[in-house]
Amino acid sequence: MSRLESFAKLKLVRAITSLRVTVVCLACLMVIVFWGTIYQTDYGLYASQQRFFYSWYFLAGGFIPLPGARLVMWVFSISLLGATILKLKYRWSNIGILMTHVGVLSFFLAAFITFHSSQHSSVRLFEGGHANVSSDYNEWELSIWQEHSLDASTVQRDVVAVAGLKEGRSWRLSDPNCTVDVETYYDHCRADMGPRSADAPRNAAGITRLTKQKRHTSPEEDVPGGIFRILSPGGDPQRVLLYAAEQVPLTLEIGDETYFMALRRKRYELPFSLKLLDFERKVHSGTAIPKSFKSRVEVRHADATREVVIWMNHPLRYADFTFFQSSFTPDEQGSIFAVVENPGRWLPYIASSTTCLGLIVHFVVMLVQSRRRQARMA
Amino acid sequence: MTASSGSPALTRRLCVATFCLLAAGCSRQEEPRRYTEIEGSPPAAAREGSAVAPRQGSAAVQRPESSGQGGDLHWQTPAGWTSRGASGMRLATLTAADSGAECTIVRLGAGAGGARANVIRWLGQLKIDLAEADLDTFLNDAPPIKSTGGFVGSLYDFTGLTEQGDAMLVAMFELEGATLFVKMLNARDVLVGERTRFTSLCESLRF
Amino acid sequence: MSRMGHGKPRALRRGLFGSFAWPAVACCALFVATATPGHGAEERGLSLKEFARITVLANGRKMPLDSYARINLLQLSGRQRHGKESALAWLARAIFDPESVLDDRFIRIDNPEIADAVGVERDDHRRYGFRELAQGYSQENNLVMVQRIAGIDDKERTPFEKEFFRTYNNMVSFSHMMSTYLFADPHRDFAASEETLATLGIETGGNPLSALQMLRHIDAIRSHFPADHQSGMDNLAGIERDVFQLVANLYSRRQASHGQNLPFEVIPYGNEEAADWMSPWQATLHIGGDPGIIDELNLLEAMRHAYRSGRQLEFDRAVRDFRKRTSLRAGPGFETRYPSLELLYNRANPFLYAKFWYALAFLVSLASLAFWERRCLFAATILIAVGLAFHTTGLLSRMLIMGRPPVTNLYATFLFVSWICVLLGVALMRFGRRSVGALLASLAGFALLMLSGKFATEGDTMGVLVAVLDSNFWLATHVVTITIGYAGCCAAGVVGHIYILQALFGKKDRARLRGTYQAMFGMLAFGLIFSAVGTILGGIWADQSWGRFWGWDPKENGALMIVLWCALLFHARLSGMVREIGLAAGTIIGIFMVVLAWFGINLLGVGLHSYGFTSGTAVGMLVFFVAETIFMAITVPLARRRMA
Repeated sequence: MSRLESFAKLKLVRAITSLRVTVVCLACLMVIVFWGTIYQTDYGLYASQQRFFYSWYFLAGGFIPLPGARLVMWVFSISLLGATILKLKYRWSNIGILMTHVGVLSFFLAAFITFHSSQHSSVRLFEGGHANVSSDYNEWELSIWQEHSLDASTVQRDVVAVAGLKEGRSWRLSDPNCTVDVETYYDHCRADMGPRSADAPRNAAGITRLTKQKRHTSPEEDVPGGIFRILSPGGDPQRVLLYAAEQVPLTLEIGDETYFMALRRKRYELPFSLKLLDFERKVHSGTAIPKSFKSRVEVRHADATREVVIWMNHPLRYADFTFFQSSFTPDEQGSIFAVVENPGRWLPYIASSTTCLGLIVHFVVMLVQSRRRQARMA
Repeated sequence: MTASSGSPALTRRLCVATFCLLAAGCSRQEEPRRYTEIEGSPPAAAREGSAVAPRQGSAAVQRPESSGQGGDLHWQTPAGWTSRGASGMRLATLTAADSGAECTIVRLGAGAGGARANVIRWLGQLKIDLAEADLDTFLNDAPPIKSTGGFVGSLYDFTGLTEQGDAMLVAMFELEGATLFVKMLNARDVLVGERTRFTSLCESLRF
Repeated sequence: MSRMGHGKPRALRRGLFGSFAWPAVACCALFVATATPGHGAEERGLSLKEFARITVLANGRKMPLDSYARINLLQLSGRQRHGKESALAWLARAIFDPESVLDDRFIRIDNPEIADAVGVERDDHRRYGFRELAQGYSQENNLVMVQRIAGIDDKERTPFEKEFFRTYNNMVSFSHMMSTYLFADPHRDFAASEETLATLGIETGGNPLSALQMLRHIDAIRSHFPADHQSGMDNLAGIERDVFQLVANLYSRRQASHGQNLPFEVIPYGNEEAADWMSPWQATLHIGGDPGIIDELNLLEAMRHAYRSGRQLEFDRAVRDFRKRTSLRAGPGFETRYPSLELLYNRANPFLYAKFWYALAFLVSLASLAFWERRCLFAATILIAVGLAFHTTGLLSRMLIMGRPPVTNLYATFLFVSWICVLLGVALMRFGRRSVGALLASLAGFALLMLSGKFATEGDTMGVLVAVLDSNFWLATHVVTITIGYAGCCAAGVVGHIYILQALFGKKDRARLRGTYQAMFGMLAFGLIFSAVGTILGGIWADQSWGRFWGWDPKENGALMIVLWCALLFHARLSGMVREIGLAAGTIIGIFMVVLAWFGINLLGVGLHSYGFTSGTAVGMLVFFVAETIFMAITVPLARRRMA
């Protein structure tokens, strides 16, 4: 008996690779998918993803723990891996089944990599404008920067930013030399102007008070805000109030220098600078039904530039990044691109082709076999 | 037997692996990040009239300001806003590119019904109920606003009166023989964010 | 039918002709009669054959006027005919002679509470007249109600509010349609003194002017327009004052917002692609830029005149001239893709006939279970073939007219899924499961086509697609594949029913049961493969257009549920957790999954807590689920006992 065979005979291994586990996993997934979809009607996609699909477990009715899709998929993939190696019969008539199982396994691998390392963000550009950063959808950061003009219309900002803002957190920065403490932070709040009192925190727009609000079902719509304490050696502590909807940054003296400060969506550096040359939106004539959105952009990498057209179903791909035409600004002069960075973006394609091919091959094999059987019987 | 000795070890290993995965998923405090952001504003000339050079610090609001005019009235269009020409009673309509919020400048005859009547009308429009006493406070506490052209008026900020939904920012200037309204109606949260630009627009008004 | 000549028994031939051929021939004749152009004389004795071919822009696409009429009538009354009158004849009356349609009952209101609310007597046919409804709706309290509902988000509206508002909107759009000829109607705003009219050289016979008349004499009016008009009306007198008033009124009326969005956009305007189309009223606004438009307006007026006086020759000439002029103006690419085909498709109604033949085939297949098995099955085969011919012709016409793959909207999925089911049934017949195949093809074909009718009342079934769907490649691959997957699972479910019933009531014929089982297994495998491939293709499309392969949204989840369920069934069968009967029950549950994916699982969620659960589709779904569950709860245990 080879080692592999004896390993396959182990009770636990036999249990975990059994078809029963497969059936139970599939059934669990069905329940989760069904529940998670119904749940979306009330609580939105994001909440449903967090509760059912990205979680190890969730509580039904508040106290009964049930497995989340993440746990089920782990068990499923382990069982599937075991079964593929140890239990499936390696012979030609089974090639379709084998390919299908390998394909499904690579889907799990793709899901794992995508889940842990992909990043979604967006870039908004007006015609003639350019940028080398994209902003996150849900995460916010406290940014402190100095800026200088490169030419009449271009500014460079050297930013230091802290994300993961939460009450009580504190960071020590080296340039500017200061510490940042979070005094209060609300994921979603409303701001009020009002008469300024002496001890009110500083704010650029004259906001004096933040009130915590119930979060939206899709966190993208939330407008956070908070009060922060900036402490620089030798200076007085400064209390500042930042509200994410503010359009003008706060100016701040730290040491002898002037800095800008704002609560902004978390930024990511892009591998190149993107410039919007032209945005065009078409509707079907006589209706408001959109027909096409199209952006002509210039990609600048170092000093080399090239023009690219991005439109629906035709994204721009560059290294691990993909840029999609996603939306446009209300005045239709600006274009919004969704940016996805996913190092495993080819995996689903490999998984897809393997699975599809496997299924089709197996169907053909089955058909041929059944014809042969019929011929034999006749 | 192999079976009995093998499975506890395997179970243990699985447990450790699961624990590691769980631990990796837990949140930690993120380190500060540094990056260089280079952003270019579209040439202002392409979007509207003549441009002036960006002031220090204004670049953060993305686009330099430009001047606008309607009839004999002049103003500085705040950075990030675009100005459309006059139509009907409006001397100008300005649009905030980010939020799509619209700001209108309207001139009516002298008095134009007075501040109180107008505020009551606006409150009705916004479906805000205000007790008589609160209305007086609101009218009396409206901060005065003065423009470079020497216009004197009051700023009525309705964002403080409502929790959510729509609100208004209105600046009302009494000029010689006319009343000038600068008005912005939009979602409350949007207005709070645009307030700075709104006041800068009001303060730039002149003949 | 030539095949029958070769050695088929005489009895069979006689049987065929005796029982089925005559109704079939009669139906063929009926079809030919309706499909022949130049349909029955209309009330006025006018033929609208030429009129039907006018091109109009609606819902973002160009279509012949005949389609436009049908879509509008369908939207208002849920039918494509108004009593004995064709949709086109109804439309002609509505625009040429609005007075004559005011009391016709064609506005459909499903919720009788609306009738009570607007003070109209409830009607058993759920159809009401415009005049009575308009009176009801113009009562103060109802107008306030409309205002209130308009302020509520559509999702928050109660069923009553939805229907109340829908009806209101229908009435508004119909009243717009009746105002199509506003440009040619005399209006009191355009009154002028005899003297002025005489000076301008306009003959009105005592009536006020119409916008069209003013535009016809625009040169004369211009020459009498006061040079010194800046100082206002008060300083003018006599003719100058009259003319100034006329022009001012024309200008303000043209600017009036209600005039700008009148329907009936039949006049192309602008560039080569004819991207802008105008209604006659809008055309009066553009006349400054293109004085030639007056010819089209004159022709439209001539059309109405001829229609009202019942002169066929004049009417046709005006219509033909109008079509010629508009096509000249718009240049190439003006007409719809296949105008004649679309007209034929509208008239022939191929899916109705397909439905009829499938229904007949189903009855014959059922009969085959009781007696004359071979003859009946042979007849069923022919009936299915005839139905399939209609069905295929209909599908192909739609594809040609739209220039798209077969599936572009919910309505089209029904046409396509039923078509695939019929093909699968035919394949089964070919592979030796004749009885099962015939039952599957005829039942699925008939039932799904019946259902499709429920989804056609939304309006244009060949409407344009939003930007993200506008990709023939993905429509042809992902959408078609996943729809074939639906069809496979539905077919498996139908065969599953047959299997259970066979196991329960059939003769104890193991081989036959085994054959049905294999058919079911094959259908399920077919369904699994196509839904899996379709789902994966969907993921790739999502990755191509949004940057994520999978996002757990309702549509994706629906498709995934089918795949999971089919995979579960196969693995459960493989492991021996379920036996043949279990698998058959599983295929029936598979239909549940298809239904959920098809309409969106989340619809169930929405339906469940929309007030009183009255959203039609969700109720239908639930009734279906309950019925099937009861069916399985009774038959499966009995069948298992009998099999054991």
